[in-house]
Amino acid sequence: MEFAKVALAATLLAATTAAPTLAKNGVERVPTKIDWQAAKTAAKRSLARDPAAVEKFVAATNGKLSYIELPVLIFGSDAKMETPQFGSQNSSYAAFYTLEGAQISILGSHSVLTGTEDLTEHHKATAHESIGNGADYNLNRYGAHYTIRLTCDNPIKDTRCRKPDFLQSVVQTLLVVNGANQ
Amino acid sequence: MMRFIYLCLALTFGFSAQAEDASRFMQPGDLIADTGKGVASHAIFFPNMRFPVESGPAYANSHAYAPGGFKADGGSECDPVNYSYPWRDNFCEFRRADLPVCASGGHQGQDIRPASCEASKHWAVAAEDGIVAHVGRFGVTIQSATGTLYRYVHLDMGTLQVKPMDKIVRGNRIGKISNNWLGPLPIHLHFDAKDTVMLNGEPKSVFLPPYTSLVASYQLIMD
Repeated sequence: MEFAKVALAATLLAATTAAPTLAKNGVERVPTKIDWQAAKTAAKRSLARDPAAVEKFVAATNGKLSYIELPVLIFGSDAKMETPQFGSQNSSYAAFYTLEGAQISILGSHSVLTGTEDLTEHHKATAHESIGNGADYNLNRYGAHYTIRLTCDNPIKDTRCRKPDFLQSVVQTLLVVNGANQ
Repeated sequence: MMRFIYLCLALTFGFSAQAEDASRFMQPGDLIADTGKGVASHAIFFPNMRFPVESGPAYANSHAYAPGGFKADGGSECDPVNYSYPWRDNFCEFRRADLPVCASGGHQGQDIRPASCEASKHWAVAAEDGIVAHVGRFGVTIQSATGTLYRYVHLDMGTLQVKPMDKIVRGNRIGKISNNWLGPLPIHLHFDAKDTVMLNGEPKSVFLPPYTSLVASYQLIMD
């Protein structure tokens, strides 16, 4: 009987000092629907506007584009960048450009996390945001999501990373190239 | 009677395990006082994540407000308190502009100190399978197959084991944790994760709180 009392006391003591568990999870990833009709129209316009950039890029990707489940965006000739290194994972892709003293990539995907109702948008999410060693530019097009990530060798001094102008200007050159449904 | 005693013992051991966790991990969103307002969500946004440091122990805490930090009252970055439990969330800590999901504060990720106060000794590793999507002067971004962007900053880039567009497998070495920056900085890994979530009914790509995912993944390599 005494032992039972001790056991009960120990249980109560342990219960009062225990932390709430961390793992409570309802987060899931859901693919987003791509508006292929709009993407195809945009791709035709891009090819007409900047055929050299589009054709050079398509040739460099060795057929990888046909497996990508979202429209692929790249920078146009006006951005004055070399053809990017390209990596595809079917439901996402990365195009990476090296600049003088900086690096820039276009990172595309097409899913959202749900079950995130705990989050509140306290401050409006903006297209351009500083990331310390550079800046990101976020955009949604055709149902897919893109982050353009820029880093600078000297992010404090380099105005490309400090101010939004550079990213805003290269975004204006974006071309729609391709995707699995084209 | 014996059943009651067994039940008490089982509950005691269960609660004790949780109490041990409480001694190692402070709650999500519980930042150092007056350093920003964190996100108190217990949701694990990246359940498939591998802890981004190859081996433990490791210590998640602020590099800025702890001893030796640029916003601290002096002290040494190697102070034992910086290399001790409990972990403390510092997503949303005051830095630059407020983040969308932070009531106040703009730190986009979590600072993690490796096992010892030594630069270029401990490996940062891939949190998920993916590709090396971006390499800059101070760090690397890994893009998972589903599009999560994991960023690793302040690496010793001379130890880098990857190059842009390399395919990478969860747990692969990326580079050694250091203090690589334009000026003096405590040795730590800045780790953050960006993904798309629905906010106010619209999909938005934002930095998300990594703390709970780090706790869960750390427990898997340590327990």
